[in-house]
Amino acid sequence: MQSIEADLQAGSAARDGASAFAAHPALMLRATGIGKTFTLHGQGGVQIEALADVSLEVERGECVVLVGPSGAGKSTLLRCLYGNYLASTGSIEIRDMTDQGRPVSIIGAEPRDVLRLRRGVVGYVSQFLRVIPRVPTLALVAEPLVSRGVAEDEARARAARLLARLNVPERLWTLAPATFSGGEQQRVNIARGLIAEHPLLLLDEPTASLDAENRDVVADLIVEARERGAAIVGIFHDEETRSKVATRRLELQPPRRHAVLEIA
Amino acid sequence: MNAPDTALSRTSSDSTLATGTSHDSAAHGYNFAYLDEQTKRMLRRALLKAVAVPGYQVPFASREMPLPFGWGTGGIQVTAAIIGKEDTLKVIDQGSDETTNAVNIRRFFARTTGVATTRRTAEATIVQTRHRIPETPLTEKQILVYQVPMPEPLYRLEPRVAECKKLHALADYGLISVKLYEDIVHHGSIATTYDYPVIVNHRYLTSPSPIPKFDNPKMHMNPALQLFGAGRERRIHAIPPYTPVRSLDFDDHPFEVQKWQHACALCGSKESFLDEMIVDDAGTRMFVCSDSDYCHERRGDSDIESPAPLLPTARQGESA
Amino acid sequence: MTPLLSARALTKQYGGRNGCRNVSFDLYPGEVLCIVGESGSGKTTLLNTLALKTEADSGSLHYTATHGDTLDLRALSEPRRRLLMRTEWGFVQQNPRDGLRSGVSAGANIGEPLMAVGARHYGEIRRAATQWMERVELDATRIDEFPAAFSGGMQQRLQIARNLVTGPRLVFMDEPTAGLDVSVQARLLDLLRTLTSTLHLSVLIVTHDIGVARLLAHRLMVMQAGEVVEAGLTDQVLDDPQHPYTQTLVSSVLPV
Repeated sequence: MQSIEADLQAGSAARDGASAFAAHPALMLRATGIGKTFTLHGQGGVQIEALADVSLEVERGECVVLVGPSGAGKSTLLRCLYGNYLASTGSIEIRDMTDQGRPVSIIGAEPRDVLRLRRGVVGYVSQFLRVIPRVPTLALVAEPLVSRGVAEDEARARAARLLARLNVPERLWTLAPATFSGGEQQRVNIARGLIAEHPLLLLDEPTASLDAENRDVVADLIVEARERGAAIVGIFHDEETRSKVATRRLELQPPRRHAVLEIA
Repeated sequence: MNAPDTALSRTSSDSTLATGTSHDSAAHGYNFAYLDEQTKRMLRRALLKAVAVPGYQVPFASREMPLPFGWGTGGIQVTAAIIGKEDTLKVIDQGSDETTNAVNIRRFFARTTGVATTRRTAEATIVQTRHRIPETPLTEKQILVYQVPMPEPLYRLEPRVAECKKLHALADYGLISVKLYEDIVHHGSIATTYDYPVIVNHRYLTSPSPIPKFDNPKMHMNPALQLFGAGRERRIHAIPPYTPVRSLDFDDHPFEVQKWQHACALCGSKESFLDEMIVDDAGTRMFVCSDSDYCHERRGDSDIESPAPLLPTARQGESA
Repeated sequence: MTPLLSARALTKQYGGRNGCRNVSFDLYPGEVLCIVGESGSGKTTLLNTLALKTEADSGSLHYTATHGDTLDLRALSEPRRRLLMRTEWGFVQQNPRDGLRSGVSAGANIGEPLMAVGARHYGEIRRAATQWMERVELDATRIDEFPAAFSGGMQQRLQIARNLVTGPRLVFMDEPTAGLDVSVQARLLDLLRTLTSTLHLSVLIVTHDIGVARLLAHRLMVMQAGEVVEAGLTDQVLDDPQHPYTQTLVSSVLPV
């Protein structure tokens, strides 16, 4: 249970947040004092601290690249920002572009609010392709547009253009991606993540399985998004892509107190 | 059924001669109309409830009668409850006054009440009927008592009695539409030709008893009081005079009555319900009015003449 | 936004134990909520209590009807309740034979809810039934066949069509894919996913299969021994489970 002191801190953080968003119209994301500790009940209740006191502000047109050794919590941070993991401490606020730009706190948000943000504001590209099975690639990539009200024909046309740009062969568009190669799956993932042109993008190793040529395509797409005014937070495992897309870097260190375990 | 006439007397006050036997005005040892006064009172209370809620099935304490269930005990109990010394009773069975059942029931009341009986619809004050409504229009002074085998129109679709009660209480009648829909699917049209379900007074779904659907329109706004008795199922329902009665249908499959291409072979009627009779071993058919009194009236009291030339081996035929 | 369905401290127990205890949540229009638990978790009791098939012992349950009024479901008279179930709700049973009339044709099964709310045109009823058979990917030429002529998966599709034909706002589903072969299950789940998203239905699904939850649900409630031990966004609960039981459940699923 939070102490009164923590309540006061949270309250003042919220006020700070609201005023920060008001003062900086370009601010898209404000995360302060994020901590994440996993408790593994099935293993004797061992606790693993993945993040400690991480803060981050991202404005439109910025691309913040997270750097640091493996186990530093980079992926964990992205997942917390997306609402996929529950941050243990701290605050995460995102400007809701679909609702007059009000800041919305991800922590403590109702599921439907998080889903609404994911539909219209925050896009996420994960390392692993995790999509609904048995749906053809073109439909998968078009779906984020369709769910935002775009007519199906237009959505499919835009999906086709993006897939073509990512060098996904047309013969694959009517197939479900479960049988594709790692690189093809990754490109489908990216297409699905970028197509709706979200104002805030969270990218977790989007180029990990790609060859140099396709890495370039993806880097170009990210730069275009950035120049369009998207705010981006990303993890990239190769320096070349990092230098192309980053406007800023944030270094994460593994928390001092942690058990010797890798977190997925 | 229109069987050839036996030696029937036609006078309206005829009682003993109608049945061909003589008897005392009330057979010895029986109460008026067989049932004790308390039972008749119970029946009348049920009848009043039924009249108050048209089409609603009122339970009643059906008595053991001197004939088995399935032979008209419900109708007999209703008639017994309402009949008085001044009444004139007509009993028909599928339109005919002369079937075994009609004869026996008429004789039963003659013996236990001594009231006058008649074959002529126009002269009766009470008409007890099995499975037909007389062709001759009824008046406000008459009561029609129906014999009902199964009063619950939903029982084939919803066998649970408790659930049926709820459906009636909530007017939740989608199920009967399902039955009609299925009829159209399997037969091309609504196949029900008798016991065709109706909505009484815009409210209750009711079984009109196994009358042919041809007779359903007669129930609508009829000046006579219509009472329904089901002895085995222990239910009474009623349709007061001048009550709207609508036969169920679909907008694009409206309710229709049967039509014949023939006229009655005896009286020439084209408007009445006709029975098809096979009159010899060669399979010769003839169509005659189901309502024997109606046919007689049209022929102008021709029961003294023998219609024999038309019916060499007159037999009781099957009704339609 | 007003919740569609609101439960507070809802409790239904059998002899002081089992059943469900102290369940509270709000369901919003268009949300798919999965109630996940193993046998004996109380999930079916909860579903039946929410759907008013069983009477709750205590707690409150409110529903916002089409006309905007909030109904106190526990105080609803039986006629109103039956009307609600006929017009605004659906309930898909685990075994399709419990949710269909075996003695009438497929078309009559789908058309019955329409007839129950006053549809009187045979041709239009048949057209609606045909359309719905196509929507649930059944061969519409089989409209006059009896349910027994269809396979289990197809009967379940029939039941789904029967429940959706009146355009309900809230559909309850009790393990809709349990008992079906895996490939049949998969296709049925795909259908449910499409229908729930295109029709903007609110759906409450009870399942023991978290794969079903992952695929269909926006939100998840995990039940253990009659209580809700964890609730939240589906991917969050499954990817970052907090409660010990949820962690056990998630780690127990056999990887394919």
